[in-house]
Amino acid sequence: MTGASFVLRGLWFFRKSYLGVLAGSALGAMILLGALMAGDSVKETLRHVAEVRLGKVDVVLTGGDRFFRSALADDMADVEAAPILFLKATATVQASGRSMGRVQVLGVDQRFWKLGPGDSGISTPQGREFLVNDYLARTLDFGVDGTLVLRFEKPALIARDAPLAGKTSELVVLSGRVGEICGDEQFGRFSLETTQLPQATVFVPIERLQQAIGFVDKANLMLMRNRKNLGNDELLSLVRRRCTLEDYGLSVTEVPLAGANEVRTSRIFLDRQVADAIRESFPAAQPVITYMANTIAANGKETPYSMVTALTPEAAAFLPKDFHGVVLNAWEAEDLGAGVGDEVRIVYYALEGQNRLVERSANFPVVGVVPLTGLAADRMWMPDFPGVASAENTAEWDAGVPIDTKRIRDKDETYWDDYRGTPKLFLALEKGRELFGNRWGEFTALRVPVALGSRDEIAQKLLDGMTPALAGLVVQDIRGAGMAAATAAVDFAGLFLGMSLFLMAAAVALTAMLFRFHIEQRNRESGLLDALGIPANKILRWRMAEGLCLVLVGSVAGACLAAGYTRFLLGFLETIWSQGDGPRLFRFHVEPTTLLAGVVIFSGLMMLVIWLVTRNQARRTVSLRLEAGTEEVARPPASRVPWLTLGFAACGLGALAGSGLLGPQGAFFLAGLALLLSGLAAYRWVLRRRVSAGGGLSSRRMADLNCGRRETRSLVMVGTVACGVFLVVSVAAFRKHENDNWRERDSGAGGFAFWVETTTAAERVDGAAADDPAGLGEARKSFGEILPLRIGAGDDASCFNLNSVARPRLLATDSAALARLGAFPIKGVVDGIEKSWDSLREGSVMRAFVDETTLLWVLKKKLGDRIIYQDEWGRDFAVEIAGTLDGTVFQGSLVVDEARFLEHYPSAEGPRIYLIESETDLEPARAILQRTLSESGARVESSRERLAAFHGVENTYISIFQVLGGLGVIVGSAGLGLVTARNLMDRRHEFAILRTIGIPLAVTRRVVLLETAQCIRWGIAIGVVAAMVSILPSLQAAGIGTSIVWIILLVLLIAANAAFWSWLAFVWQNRKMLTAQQDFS
Amino acid sequence: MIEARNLSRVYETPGESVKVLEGLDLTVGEGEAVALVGPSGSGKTTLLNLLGALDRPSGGSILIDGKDITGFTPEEASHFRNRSLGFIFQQHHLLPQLSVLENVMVPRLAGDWEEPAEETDKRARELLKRVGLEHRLSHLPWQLSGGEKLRTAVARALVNRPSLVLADEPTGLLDQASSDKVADLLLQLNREEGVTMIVVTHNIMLARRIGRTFALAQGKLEEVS
Repeated sequence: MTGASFVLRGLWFFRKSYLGVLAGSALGAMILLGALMAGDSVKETLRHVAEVRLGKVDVVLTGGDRFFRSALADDMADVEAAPILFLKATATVQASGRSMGRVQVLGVDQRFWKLGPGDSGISTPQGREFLVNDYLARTLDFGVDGTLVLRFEKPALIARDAPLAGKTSELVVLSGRVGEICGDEQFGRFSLETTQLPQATVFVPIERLQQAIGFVDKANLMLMRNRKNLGNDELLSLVRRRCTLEDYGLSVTEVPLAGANEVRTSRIFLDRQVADAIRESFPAAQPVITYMANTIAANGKETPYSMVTALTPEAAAFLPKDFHGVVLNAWEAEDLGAGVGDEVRIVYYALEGQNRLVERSANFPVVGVVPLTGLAADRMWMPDFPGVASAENTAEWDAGVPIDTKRIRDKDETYWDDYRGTPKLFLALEKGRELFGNRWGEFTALRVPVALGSRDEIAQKLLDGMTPALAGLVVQDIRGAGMAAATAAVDFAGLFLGMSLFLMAAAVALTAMLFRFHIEQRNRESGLLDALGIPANKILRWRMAEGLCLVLVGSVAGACLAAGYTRFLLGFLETIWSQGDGPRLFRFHVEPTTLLAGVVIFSGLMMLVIWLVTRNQARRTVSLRLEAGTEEVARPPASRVPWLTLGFAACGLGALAGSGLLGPQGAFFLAGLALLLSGLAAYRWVLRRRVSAGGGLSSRRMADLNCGRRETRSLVMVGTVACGVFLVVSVAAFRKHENDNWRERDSGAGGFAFWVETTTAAERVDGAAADDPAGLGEARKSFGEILPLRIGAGDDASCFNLNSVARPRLLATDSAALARLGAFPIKGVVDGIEKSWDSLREGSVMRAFVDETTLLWVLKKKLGDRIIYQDEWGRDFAVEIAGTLDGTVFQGSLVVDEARFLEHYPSAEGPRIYLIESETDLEPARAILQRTLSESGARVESSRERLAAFHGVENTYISIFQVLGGLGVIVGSAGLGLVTARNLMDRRHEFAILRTIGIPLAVTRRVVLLETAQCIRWGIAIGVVAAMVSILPSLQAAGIGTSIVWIILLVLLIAANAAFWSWLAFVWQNRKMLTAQQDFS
Repeated sequence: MIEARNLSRVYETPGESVKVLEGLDLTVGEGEAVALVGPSGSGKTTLLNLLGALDRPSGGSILIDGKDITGFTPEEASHFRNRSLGFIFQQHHLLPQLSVLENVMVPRLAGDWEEPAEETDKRARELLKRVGLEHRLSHLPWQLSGGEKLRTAVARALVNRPSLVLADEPTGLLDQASSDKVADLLLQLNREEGVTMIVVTHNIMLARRIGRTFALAQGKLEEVS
């Protein structure tokens, strides 16, 4: 017989005893591997989603609201490129009338499909045909041959809210027959958004879409496949080389009367960065600002709606060298009856505050009158203001600002007919910048003297000085970002490991306990082997070998069970991210390395525990092992003061006090652990005090003595129950409950009843409509406050997005309005700033408030941290997380001040989100909003529903946590039952003696029940106290009542569960007790 | 040759020290059989454990064949027990998962025995034949009577050809007839194999048959006639 055969013989002989160890190992391995597998599965799911979402696309050139030539894609050598015209629309199924907002409309050609994840077999739709993706078809419940109607706002070259941007809004309606439905593998999932959630998409022939919006041969997105693996710099350089001035929206026009070439932009106002770049290339370039004055008045007379130009004397020789004041042309001087020395007043529109157009005025002295000839009569001073430049008469002006056509006189019409937009007044450049400059730019043109080169030479030099980024065309490594977000997604492995910690600890503790029982059962054997001269380390090795065999078999069994367990966890997650009746999102996946690592880690952990248990037993002397069997050695009496208890309690309270330093989670876990240990130390202290106290022998005294006799077992029992209670109680306290306080300003809804998200951006509000930013019209009076929000760069970082989000979506709003209303609970702010929305407008760095949940769990950042964003021109800027919000509708976004936001994104579209207050019943109000805003593709969601959806996700996590914790409690309680059974079994002889000397069985039973009750009682008390104290700082007052009821219920359930298992053990052993009694007799 | 000099053993328990052996001297010649008697709690088993290097004395020395076993490391003590000692316990302590023959062979599990396994196997079978268990070789302990279990334990104690056998109450759980048989066996082994033997017993008949008897009381050892 060899050592190996001795080990195998032991395994076989004690197979029944080892069955529990095996089951515990399998359970522990299942939980650990299940958590790791869930992590692998989520990662693989997100990787797969990213793969099908991006297909073969590596890099994109995005223009947003800026358009470049679709032919740019033809020019891209070395990369496979596809131009896209990307819009958002409201899609309506003609037959059913069902509609959906914020649908992606992609104008594509055949090149798009070639970039799909595989050979899609899809052909670009022809004629009036649309293709739609599977998600849209399922959501709106339609199929092939159905007719779909798309409604979207016609894009503009300049933001709609810019002054003189032309027609404020123009709705385009496009209908088509659905020719095919694209699945994920057919590139139907294409989206630029880093999310696992599908985007509803309609594919339209690019030419048709271009014609529909009047942007022939234009695109605003280009997908590129980097087949030759060019570096980022090489790609940027390639795009830059292929871009023309047209792609940058620039043009160079000869202005013969000025002896200059004029650089203009299709966006009317030259971006500051572009203007700077041009002036760097051509320092002699002269800026020009032409703007519309609502009124030019002097001497009690006024001229309505006239163009005025601000410039330097170098740009116009007819101006005095020392130019200040204004110069009128002869027509205007005559109209006003004004001459040199008179004062004129210019009334004009300016954009102020939250995008509001207001009339302002300024007075200037007249310093000259210039005849309406030559350069002064040049029509080219006026840029091509949309809705103005091409108007036949002034009555047709659609300048995008309020115009009172009644004021227009016949002579004004005649001037328009004869001179078009020739300025009637010239003023100094600096004054013009001050009056007419806005966030889109200051100059409408830059004039380069012909002496510096021909038109073509200037165009070439201009092109050389430009970069795509300057023109707002950004090259993004979308594959890199997408894959990084998928790889570093929400760490579900860690999350489930964390959630399963107690269950795993319970399984490991139970296994260790069962192994310990087994080792104790074989104490005499090891004592004998020692006595026979078998070296102690050899006996230890054999025990370890037996343990290893069990753990390995258990791990393999656990791995098999883990596959099912993982599917159970994924099923839970599917309830959050379910796509209706669509295909399941989560794919089961296991990485072999993860599996191996899991088995190794678990086996290592188990072997460590087994080694500790076995080594502790091996330390006992041979004679003790031979004689004492399963009895524990006597413990020293307790000291007078429970130092250990007090020490751990102090640590726990210290951790709570230092929660600012440790973070709320760190403080919670540390405090919880320390308080649990403190409770266990207290129990041990009390146990030892009671044992050594002496006194009369009663059932209670017997119970105390018996608990103290096997102190470790008692501590394990109490600890198991305490941990279970701690976990379940603390998690239950974090459960979010719905309540009706959303009408309060300091609630998560801020007192706003609705969260409305539109497909088309809001128009600028002028004059009387200023109080109606959402454009509700007559319905406006039904609602209270309305807070518009602009959507900026970044991805949704709410709990709905599983991907790792480095830059959450920016939401820009009027922080002064929020401060005035005192809306939303601000939980904390960085040191040194006021706890108010007003602080968002302060500081040198742009500040943001973010929901605490997003900050802690998604961004994993803290107050004061900064996140780097790229502005409209691709330049980095920092956003400081200055404060946290407590459970608000803003989860997943950074809320910033609108004015500061517009400094970085001047071209940003208008608001698309509205928070709307309603005093009336929700459903009628919702119906009004839905009806009124249907044209803008609005999705009306009550704030309460939005909060409930967020809470739903959090509560699902909490439910998973509770289920796993509950399983842990059951396992722990089963362990309690096993320990009880084991105790009873070990003491059968003792019970038989008691019976023999005439102690009634009822008394014995009472002793046993008192012992068990003592453990359960202490376990519950320690767990509840530790949990309640640990969660105090994080506990929300709202819903606490519901939480407490829930907690009491759970504690009662745990107590009942523990009592049930102990009772089962008692019943099981009771029969044996009787048998033993007979045997003894 | 066993020489214990000024041997003492004190047990430290919470709150008190219990002196079990104090200044004890014992000399046992090679091949000699000695009986150790005394009331319960007098320290007989403690003395046996000290002699068997299962425990360390609080003071004094124990020389066995000239070696002071009190200075042994745990490894040396194990090696000493495995090669030079045979233990017989009152409770037999047979391993339930092993057959009778395997139980006798258990000491070989220490490894590094120079003797081939076949030799040990042969001797184990011979020993079991001598104790009358040749027909029980493949039986498991639970299939044996108390006497048979003890005889298996005796065979196990002799399988390593020990120079010293320590027996703790070998007949404590047996009836008179079985006790006599065990006594016959032990004495026969002592005579025929020349094994030094120290037997702790309450059985006066057994002590008388062994011959030289020491009585242990209040930590002191005294030879009785």
